Amino acid sequence: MLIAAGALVAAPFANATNLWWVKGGNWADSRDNYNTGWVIPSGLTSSETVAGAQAKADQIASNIKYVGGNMVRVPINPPTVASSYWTIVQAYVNELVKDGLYVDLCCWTEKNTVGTVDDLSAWQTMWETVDSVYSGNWNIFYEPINEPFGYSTTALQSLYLNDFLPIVSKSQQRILLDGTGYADHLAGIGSDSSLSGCDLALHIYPYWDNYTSTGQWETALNNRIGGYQNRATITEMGAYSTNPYYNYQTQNSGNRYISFIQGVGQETKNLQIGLVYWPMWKDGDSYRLFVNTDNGQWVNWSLMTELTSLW
Amino acid sequence: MKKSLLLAIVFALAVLVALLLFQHHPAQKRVAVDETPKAKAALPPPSLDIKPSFPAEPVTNVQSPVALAPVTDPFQNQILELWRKHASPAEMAALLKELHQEDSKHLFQALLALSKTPLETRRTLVPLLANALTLWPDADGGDVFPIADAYGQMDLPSAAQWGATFLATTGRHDLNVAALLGEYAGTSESQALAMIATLPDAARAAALQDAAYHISTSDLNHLMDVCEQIDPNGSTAFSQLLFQRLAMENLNNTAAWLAGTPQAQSLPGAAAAIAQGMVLSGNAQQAITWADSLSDQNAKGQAIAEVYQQYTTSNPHTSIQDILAAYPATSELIPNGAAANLSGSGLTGYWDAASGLPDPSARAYAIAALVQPNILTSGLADTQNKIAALPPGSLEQNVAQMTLQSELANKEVALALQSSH
Repeated sequence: MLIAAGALVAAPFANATNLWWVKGGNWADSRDNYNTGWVIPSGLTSSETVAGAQAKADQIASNIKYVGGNMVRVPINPPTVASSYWTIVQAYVNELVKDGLYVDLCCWTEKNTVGTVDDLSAWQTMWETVDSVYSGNWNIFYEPINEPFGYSTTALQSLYLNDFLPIVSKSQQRILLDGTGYADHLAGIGSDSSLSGCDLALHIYPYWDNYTSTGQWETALNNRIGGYQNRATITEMGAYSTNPYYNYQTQNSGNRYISFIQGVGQETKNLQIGLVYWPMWKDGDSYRLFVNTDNGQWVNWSLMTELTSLW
Repeated sequence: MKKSLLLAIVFALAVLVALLLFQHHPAQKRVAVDETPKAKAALPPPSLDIKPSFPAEPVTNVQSPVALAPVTDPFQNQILELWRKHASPAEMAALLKELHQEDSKHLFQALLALSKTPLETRRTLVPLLANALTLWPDADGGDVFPIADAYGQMDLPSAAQWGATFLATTGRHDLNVAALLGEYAGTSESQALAMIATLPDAARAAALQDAAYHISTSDLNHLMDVCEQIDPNGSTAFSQLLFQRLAMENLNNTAAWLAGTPQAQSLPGAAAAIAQGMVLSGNAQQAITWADSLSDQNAKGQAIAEVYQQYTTSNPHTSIQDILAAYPATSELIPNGAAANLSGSGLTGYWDAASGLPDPSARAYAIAALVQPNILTSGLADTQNKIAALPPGSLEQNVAQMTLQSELANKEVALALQSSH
């Protein structure tokens, strides 16, 4: 009986799961998640202690739970996971989980001009290291590479199928594969039957299309999802929060950014897919939702209200 | 009767479960001691030219193996069996290769489990496995990291020494192994840097990048000497990462020191890192003043480009207006929020007006603000031509070049350029 139960737990799930319930935010490095060295989320420093990381995670958890969220997407990269800072990463990730949240561990590349894994061996070793800690943790998601725009569709399929999935023991229901390009379309990866057990991650930004009505943005999102809404989650979307003239609750504004938030938010609700905002915490970013990681103060009341009313 | 039978069954099941749990999780006392030896390893002085030194005599397991609780995993058993026999690294390497061929994932799991054995076992088992890896240049990175990690946690000086040998002998650049040397720089800087200096380029860069996070930052003048010696042209990103760290941990002191130390201003990435840190900490005006205080023209250009980029990230609609307000007679040059919407002859007019500003820093900022709109409306080639036409080697030309590179990495600009082709 024990063996049978163990086998049940270990067996991979055949089908991807619907992540409609995901409501989250990115916790990003103030400098940039693209980094040669360690990637350090806002509010933490390179000399962080375990206790300091846990305390900051508690603040993050408090912020996001207050607005009804349940997931935090955090950056990792090979230099960070290979170093002593991995202990700090585990401290804040574990604390977020302890606080009842889901965590999406997403790998960023070194430079934002390449769009491919920098060093395949180092990348695989990083995921093996991560997997040795989190393979059985149901609250942890893996996103193998952020915005893999340097790959053709077939090369990206191969990266996922041949270089990533064989080295991790994670249930595929907890793996989010970025779509092609800047994770801007899902059909190329969604149509690969050998990857059908995994979920799909989409990104969408207002400056990708010059639309000024909510309907246009709803259609744009639909097109980018390409019919794979049952497996899709938006892991990045966002708009200006620091512009005091933008009221995100204005109807028929004719404004690209306002209609983007309203249209994408509404379509996310219609299609029942998850949504993770970019960035929820990133000091100094003009899209950030929280002023900083200290006190839970919002940058833009109308944006937060509009977003959270739709998710 | 039924109740007692039920109780008996429950009791029997409980005993069975307990036995099974005992078998799979043998009682092992967790060693809660500081496992890093305080004594320094016998390493050569830093001035010596250290050559990779693979032990002439194979390191063998000279201590009497400790009786281990039974292990049921066959891979772990085979490795432990060889360890108990005081096998040489070569024999262990042969076994690891064999096990890897048989089932690579199983070997990875076995090494992970063995890296968590009691300290008295690890003390000799981990060095044996580590030295075996040195004889196995094709080992999977996944097989290296549990050993490197366990070695570093147990005995950092010895692990660093092994790491240097491993990287030099195999020609590999495993980040986990390089990180041992970087971490060692935090406690034994000169010894660690001497070992790092002997490594092949890729491993050396990886180790130095990690050292930037561990090296003591108490003496900035000393750090300047270190940067000049080991990263004079920024090829390893050591000084860039070091100054990013200083911006996070000791911003104001480092900024003041850099402004007063002209020799340090030319360290690769230093000025940009401090400028970025100032803007991120909400002190954009201070950053503008600080950038202007730098005497090194290249450093000033880097700082100005970074202030503009970072401040624009935070305040895209008002950044150039806010920045130019710091300079006399420039605040009306570009109306609020207009930079992103400029096009055609209007854009050229603004470019010419920006180029004619009397203050060099104001010129540099104003032109930097026009780079993105120019790319988006007139194309990359036109922008490159306009930048090339600026006075050669001038502050504004340097800043415009750096801004152009940043803009090309900007997702918005990259996508616009893609769609225009």
